Amino acid sequence: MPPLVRVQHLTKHFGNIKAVDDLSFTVNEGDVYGFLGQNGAGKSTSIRMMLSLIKPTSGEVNIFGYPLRTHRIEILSKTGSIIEKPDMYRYLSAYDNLSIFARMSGIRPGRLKLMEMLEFVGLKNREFDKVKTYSQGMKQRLGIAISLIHDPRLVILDEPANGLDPQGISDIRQLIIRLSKEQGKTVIISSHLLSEIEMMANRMIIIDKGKKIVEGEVSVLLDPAHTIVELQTADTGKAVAYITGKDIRIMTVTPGASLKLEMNRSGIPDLIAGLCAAGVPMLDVHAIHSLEHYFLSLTNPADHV
Amino acid sequence: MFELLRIELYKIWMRPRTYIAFAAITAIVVIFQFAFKADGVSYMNLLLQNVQDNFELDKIKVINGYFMCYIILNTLLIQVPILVALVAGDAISGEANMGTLRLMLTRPVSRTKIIFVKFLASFIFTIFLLVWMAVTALFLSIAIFGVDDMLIFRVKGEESQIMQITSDDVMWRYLAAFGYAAIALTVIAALSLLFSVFAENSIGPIVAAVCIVIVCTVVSNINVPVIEQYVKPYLFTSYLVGWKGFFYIGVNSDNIPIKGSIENWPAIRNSLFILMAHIGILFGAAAWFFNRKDILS
Amino acid sequence: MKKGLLLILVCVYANGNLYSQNISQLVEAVKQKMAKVHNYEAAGRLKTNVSFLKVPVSDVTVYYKEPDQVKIKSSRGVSFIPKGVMSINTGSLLEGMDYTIIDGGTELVDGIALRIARILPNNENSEVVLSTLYIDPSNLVIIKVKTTTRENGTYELLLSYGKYSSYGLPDKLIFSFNTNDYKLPKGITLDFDNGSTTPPSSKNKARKGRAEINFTRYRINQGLPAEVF
Repeated sequence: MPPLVRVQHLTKHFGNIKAVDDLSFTVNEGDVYGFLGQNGAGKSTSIRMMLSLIKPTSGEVNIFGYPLRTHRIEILSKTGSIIEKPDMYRYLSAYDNLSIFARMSGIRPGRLKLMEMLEFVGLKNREFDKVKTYSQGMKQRLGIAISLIHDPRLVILDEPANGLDPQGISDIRQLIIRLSKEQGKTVIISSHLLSEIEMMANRMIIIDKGKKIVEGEVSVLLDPAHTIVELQTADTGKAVAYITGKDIRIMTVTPGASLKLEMNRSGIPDLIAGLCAAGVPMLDVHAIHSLEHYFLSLTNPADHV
Repeated sequence: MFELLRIELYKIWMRPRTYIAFAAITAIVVIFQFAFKADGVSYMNLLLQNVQDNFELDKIKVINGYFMCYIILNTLLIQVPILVALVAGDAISGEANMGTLRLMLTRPVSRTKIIFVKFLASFIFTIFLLVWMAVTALFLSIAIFGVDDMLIFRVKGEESQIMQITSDDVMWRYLAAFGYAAIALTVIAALSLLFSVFAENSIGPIVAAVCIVIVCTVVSNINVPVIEQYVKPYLFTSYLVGWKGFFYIGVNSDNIPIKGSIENWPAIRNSLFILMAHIGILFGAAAWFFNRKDILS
Repeated sequence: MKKGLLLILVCVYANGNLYSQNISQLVEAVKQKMAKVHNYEAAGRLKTNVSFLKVPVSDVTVYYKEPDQVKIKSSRGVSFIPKGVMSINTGSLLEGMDYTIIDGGTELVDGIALRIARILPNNENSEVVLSTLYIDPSNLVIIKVKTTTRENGTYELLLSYGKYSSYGLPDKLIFSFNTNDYKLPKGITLDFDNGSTTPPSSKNKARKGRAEINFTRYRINQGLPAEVF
């Protein structure tokens, strides 16, 4: 099956600055595709080019099998998006904003549908308040509603969890999983919350300085053999003595407090059992999300521990 | 297209700043009407200074609704461009400033359609402004001052003239004048829209458009031969006051005004064509740049 | 021969005396004729022709009440009525003034030999400095009046008569006068330059103006409403 989104050799110059440099990637139908990069890596520029907000200096974007350059209207009619911090008409209510953008997307939802969508994103009882009275999190929810109101086939979300509380972040995560698994939508999501990406995305790309660093299945890219484990114990000496000689790299030791280890994820249960048997008093053992480590190791290898 | 236009008009009418324009017009008109009701005779004495030595004239009758509207329009149609720029200059830059431009441009609508609808909405707003001006400056003046023949005071070359238009020959001229003013103000709207495309803040385009109108108006009124010949014909501000041409009545060989006539219709027609050409060029440029603009806001 | 010459001289002198008496008598005869009209109300159409004034023809009503009250009312609220046209009643020119009449001879106008009477007010402070009447002796009507005033310059009246000539009331009156050039105060208007040409401006600040009234109907000696004057 051909990919739903194919980006080929996408490049964008702003004067002398190369914001995006020969970027190519594909997104398959049904993917939850993580789009990762540091600030200024070119994520937003790439997303804007995919949404025809910015014209590429060179390269092609194909969505649903059509070139974006020539089939913009058809593609956008089936694409929903949030770009960075969503802003709406502050002097209008959420209901009015949603209605306006729905009608601009070519649909005329009735009052019931609009109210349902607003309830779906958690804005019940605030539908008719002016957006200028909303918190950032509420605006984010409204932005998600706007991106979904016309039932798009492809959803592009740039930092959708911005400004949301932990419950909101969890809600967004559940929403995205539902969109993908239950409604078969394809989601491209860019986020700084690597833990969230790790939980949602099945494929991902990491870009840095406008270039692709790596692309592929999350499960393949995140090597379980290099899981970071943090062990909190008062007797770090005994723990070190047990671990030395095993296929575990001791990264850092904070005497009398904790150790940071790099090891194969599958060996964690044996490690816990062994430390217990060795009489090491353990206060806490947890694996640091390796996507974060992986990301940092690729984007900041000099700083990476 | 119609749906988009409805949305744009809805957005314009829901913004409080839209009503500033109508309030400003009302205030100016009412101030004029009050001033003339209180002491219009002094103004007439100024206008008629040495004519009164040779002619008997009832100055009160001169200050009728038709005359008042002409006086008010003379002033208003200098300030109204600012009010038009207030809305048209905000059309794209206001959306960029609010952050809604990127939301709008990721809808399945062509950019050309979006900017055309924005322009159309600005044009409709201009029409509403003019209708309001007609209601307050003309019909309210008629209600306060009554109707009678209308006097037009004019400088033609080196000569000053007074023209009298009979009361039954005035209304169609106002209709035509307002129509002309609509075209003239649409040039301002198109200019403001063009500037709006380049900015992410409304103040810039509004101020730029107003400054251009002011500077060009000043230059248009410099009576130096080289300016008259080589500069003035190419400034759109030279044609903004062309609505007055509808009140320059033609006369026969006995110097008697000919009812229903216009002194120089070809001049007005040519002015209209020039203004419409300006609209076409300015809007065309706005659409061209807007289609190629990278949306970074 | 001497007797013949003397006779001729006497005849010339006598005729000369008779000739001089005739102009005063002629003026008096005109005055008497016009005195028959105690008041009138006349309907007419006023056409004003002044270079800087473009005004339509308007219907006017002229009211006269002896000895010298004249009022012109226009059907239009807005109307420019030349001030001097109030003097159109020529009878009032002759009424109540202390003046000296000088015979100005005759002048042929439109085939009619008009007698010229120069009216000189005896009062040195009179507004009228000199008034010249051109009289049709056969009909006892004044055809033309040229008047020079202290304050308002010189104006000229041309009158033509029809069915009301027996009353000395004209059918048509043309009033020519001097008027100041009109200058709009600067900055009042921003004008639209429509490219229309203007005649070369006269360096002479004074302009000539003309008002023409065509009378259609007179109501003579029927009384006038009290509120007119």
